[in-house]
Amino acid sequence: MPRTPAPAARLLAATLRPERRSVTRILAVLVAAMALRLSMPVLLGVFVDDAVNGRSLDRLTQVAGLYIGAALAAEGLQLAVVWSSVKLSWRAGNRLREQLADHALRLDLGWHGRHSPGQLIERIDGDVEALCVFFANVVLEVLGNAILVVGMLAVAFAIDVRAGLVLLAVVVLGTTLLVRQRAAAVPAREAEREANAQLYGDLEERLGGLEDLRANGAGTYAVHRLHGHSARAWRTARYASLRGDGAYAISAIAFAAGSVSILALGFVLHRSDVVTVGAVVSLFRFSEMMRHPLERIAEQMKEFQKAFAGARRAATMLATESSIPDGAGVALPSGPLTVELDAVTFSYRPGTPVLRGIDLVLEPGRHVGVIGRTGSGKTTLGRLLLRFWDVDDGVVRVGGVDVREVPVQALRRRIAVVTQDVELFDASLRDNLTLFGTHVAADERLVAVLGDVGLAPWLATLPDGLDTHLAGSGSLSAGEGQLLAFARAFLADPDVVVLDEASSRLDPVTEARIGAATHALLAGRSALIIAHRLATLDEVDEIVVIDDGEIVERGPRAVLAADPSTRYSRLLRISTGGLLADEVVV
Amino acid sequence: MSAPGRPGASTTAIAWRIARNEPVAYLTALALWTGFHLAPIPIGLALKHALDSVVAGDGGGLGVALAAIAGFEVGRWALLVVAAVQWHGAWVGWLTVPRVNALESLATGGGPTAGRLPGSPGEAVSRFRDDANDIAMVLDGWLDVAGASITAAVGVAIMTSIDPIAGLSVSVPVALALLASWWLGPRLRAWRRAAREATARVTGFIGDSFGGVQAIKAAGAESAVHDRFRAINAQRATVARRDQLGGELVRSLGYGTGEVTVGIVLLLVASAFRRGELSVGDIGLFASYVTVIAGVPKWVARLSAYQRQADVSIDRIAELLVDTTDRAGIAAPVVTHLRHGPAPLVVDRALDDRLEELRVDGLAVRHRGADHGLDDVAFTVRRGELVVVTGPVGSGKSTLLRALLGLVPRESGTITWNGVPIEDPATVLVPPRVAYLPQVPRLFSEALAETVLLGLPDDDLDRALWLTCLDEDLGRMPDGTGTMIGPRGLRLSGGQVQRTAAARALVRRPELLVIDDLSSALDVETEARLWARVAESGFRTALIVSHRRQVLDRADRVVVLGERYGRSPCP
Repeated sequence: MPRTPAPAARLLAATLRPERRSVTRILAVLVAAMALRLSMPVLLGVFVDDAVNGRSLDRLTQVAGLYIGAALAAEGLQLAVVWSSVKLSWRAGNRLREQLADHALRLDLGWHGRHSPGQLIERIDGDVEALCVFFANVVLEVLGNAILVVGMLAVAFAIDVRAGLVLLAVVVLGTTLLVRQRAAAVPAREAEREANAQLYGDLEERLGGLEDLRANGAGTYAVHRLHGHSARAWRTARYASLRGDGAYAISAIAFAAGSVSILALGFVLHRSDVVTVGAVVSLFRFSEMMRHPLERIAEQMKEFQKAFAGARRAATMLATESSIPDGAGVALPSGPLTVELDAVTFSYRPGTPVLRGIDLVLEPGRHVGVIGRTGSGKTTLGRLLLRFWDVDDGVVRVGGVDVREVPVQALRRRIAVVTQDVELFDASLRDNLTLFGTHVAADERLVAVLGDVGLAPWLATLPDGLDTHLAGSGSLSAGEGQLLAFARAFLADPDVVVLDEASSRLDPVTEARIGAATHALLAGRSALIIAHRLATLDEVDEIVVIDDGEIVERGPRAVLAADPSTRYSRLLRISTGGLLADEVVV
Repeated sequence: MSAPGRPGASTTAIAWRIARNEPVAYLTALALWTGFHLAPIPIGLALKHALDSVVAGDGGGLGVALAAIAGFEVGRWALLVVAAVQWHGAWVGWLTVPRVNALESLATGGGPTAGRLPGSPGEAVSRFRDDANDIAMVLDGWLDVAGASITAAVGVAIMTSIDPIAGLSVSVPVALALLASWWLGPRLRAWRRAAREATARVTGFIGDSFGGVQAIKAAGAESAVHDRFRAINAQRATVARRDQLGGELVRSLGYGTGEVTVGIVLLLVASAFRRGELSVGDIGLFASYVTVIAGVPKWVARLSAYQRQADVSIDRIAELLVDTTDRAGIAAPVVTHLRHGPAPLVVDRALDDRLEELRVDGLAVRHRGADHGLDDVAFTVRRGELVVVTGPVGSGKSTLLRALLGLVPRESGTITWNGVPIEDPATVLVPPRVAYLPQVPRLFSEALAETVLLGLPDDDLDRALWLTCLDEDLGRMPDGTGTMIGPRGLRLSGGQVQRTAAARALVRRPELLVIDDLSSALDVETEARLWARVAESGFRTALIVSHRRQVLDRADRVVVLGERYGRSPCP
């Protein structure tokens, strides 16, 4: 399958572009270091010739001393180069990490549904890590050795044109083999990384669901999966090695052939007195040193392959566009907003609509309760309002504006959704409340809001108050988590509120306690309240019953409740125990 | 010295234990790599003859020497490919041993789950990935040190036989290099530890942010997350740079030593060479051998650096074990299935003590070191009974269930199954005795059937799906039970997630069903139908957290937990 390197290469170039100046500086030091390395085989040749020609011991000592000095200086300069290139790689790598994370965050939820957090760790950190290693080493290992090779060729040509030509042939052959084989090894390397990404992705998920696994006796199954993924890693790693190291070996043999040819040529040239023995020794050292840079470059090839595969995936991710394009920039009117669903049809998967021809108007400041069986599409209403997904047909309008025309963030800042799943972060309570500072609020305000939702006693038990680190979702009870979500909604100060089973995990006592707070949250705001517990809907203005994606009943709450033939009143009776379950007519 | 299970076993002992898991693979790798390392020895000898032939103008001698060089070179690189492929397989094996041990301990070991992960799941993944890697690096380091040392010993012997001074002069710089790496050691270790921690913070943050992507999007918090990410990235760069420079110092020590030593040898053999006691071929051989010999400190320094890193890594993986002080536990023998993959899973569902009565007495839990929890809770569940636990938020309803199942540690109290006390409920109160539906269930990104069955045969699947009313939803799913449900079931509705998790518990046909608040995600009708179906199937024994009237009305017994706040006894 033909693969174009263009997007990956472009991404690498773009990431390195801001670093041009440091690259120049590093290169200058690198050239000096390489010149010193180049001088050493020449000094060895001089040493041999001087000894053969019977020069003084002082002279020989001097040459050996120079050799030692050059070796030490080259090493020092190389360390300086490494330090600079490591700094560069972290700057560039982190820029790319941030770019990727930012982009991924802005992709639609459908995309996130296909990519687990574990996979994204591998994409954003693992792949960029490979790129970082590449940035840190490419200058020294690839560029530095390239300079060295060119220098060696120049000296070889100066000694004898034929010797120079032999070395040149070796370099050309070796490089050609490298380039050919490299391309062939990339897919194998990619398969290996994919196998690893799956292994880690699966682990991350299982580790996140340990309680579920253990309490359902499925721990062995998780281990079984690890065995399966490890077997795949084994297969792909060995195959990738066969391709990658096979390439390495072939070019190494080419270089060995070069050394042999140099010796043969040296023999001929020496016999005809064209070159000295020292020159033959220098040339041979060069031919051996050619192999060393090659080995380094080949080692980097592995990194290069990893980096290249990583860059390609990064480029692919960056090229992925959100299926929710940002709105053109129409501003929403200020104050309470009208919400309007106009003949809305929507499906997560083509052919299986979740909502069908929904018409719904929520006047500013009014409250509508939505009820319906699980899976009937209630939650989807809130998701469409927030533009987590776009409608297939029809229009969703907020404040009279099609939501697709409003900048997504501006839209979401005006709407607060409290759902049944509260997502908590491994961060301080403050960060969890303000979502890392998105909602700007002084500590006093945070404490007051926590008090409003009934979390003041809980706050008092925390050792570090707002600075207390919440270790993810495990550190609060589900009810406390949901109260925290209410607090978030308060801080967001929205104009439209969607409560999606928001109080489902609260017991009636607690729910009553935050009733006042909920009241305050809803007052003067338009609200869509999705609930199973019908008591939650006692104060709404209107009720909408959804079944199988369609509105099957709607009307003022009091009217529906009073009419015994309506679904709503029947549900009311079940929930208060007036009807047995088997009497429920579906 | 690898006394199994002995706390504080050395890094070497643990690495060795991992190697012994598949001894044939390790010995094969050792033989192959030693062969590869040794190749420069015969090549150097052939080179000496080649150079001497050049000086002497002996064409025949040169031809033989060059043929030998060519032959050894081809053999060396062919050997490399074989060695590398075999090594990559062995490497995965070394990674698999601590991984399987850690996961087995986390997912099937005894004791409570709470606090089992020292951080986020993403952070734990970095232990499975990076720390396992570090330990495997030690095993790899041994291969190279063994090969390089044997080669160096042979090289020094040959050099000494040619000129004793040359042989001796190699050892001084090599010893100095080892000394320098010894000085670097503790620093490298500290730097590495800092770098690892910073990395774990970054991966943890990524995992966490994308785990909660919906909340971030809903709040428009993308920019704030970006800023935070940037800050922790910058911190990590600072410590990681230092760590990398340390690694480079070690490398430079090896390479620099080689070149400097060539100079020293030249210095010391100059007069003998000048007197004609050494040939040009000898000088060529010295130069090529010295490079190989001086490589030893590099390999040793690399190994010792990894050995120090592995020391940290072993502790980090051991933190995932049931007995976190048992370092050697990470290297316990593991049957890997790398070549052919694991055989299909067979789950033993036999049960000999059917539930008559589960009794809980004097149960007390203090969790998270906080001053609240449960005190002296007692209740009984008999066969066929529905027992409901209720109480206000934070009164410890979920904690009660989790303590019963051994997911959080209990401070005191007894649990008995048909009168037999249960010490470690985490390993006993599991299917087929008990199955559990948590309040916020975690589903896994696989096909619906798979996330329900989790390794069980599918003969009961349809029944479980019917019981939980999922049969009606299936029609709307594109691939039926094969439908991929996305990470954590993201493609399902909240109620579907809950019912899928209920199916997951029911398909295990437990004696006792433990449910933490099914009502919260289900509408009244669906829940009523679910219970009707469950009752109809003859299934009844259950312990349920709920505050729904409908459920409370049907309960045989109700456990009411009080308000916990204000109940803070000692400061």
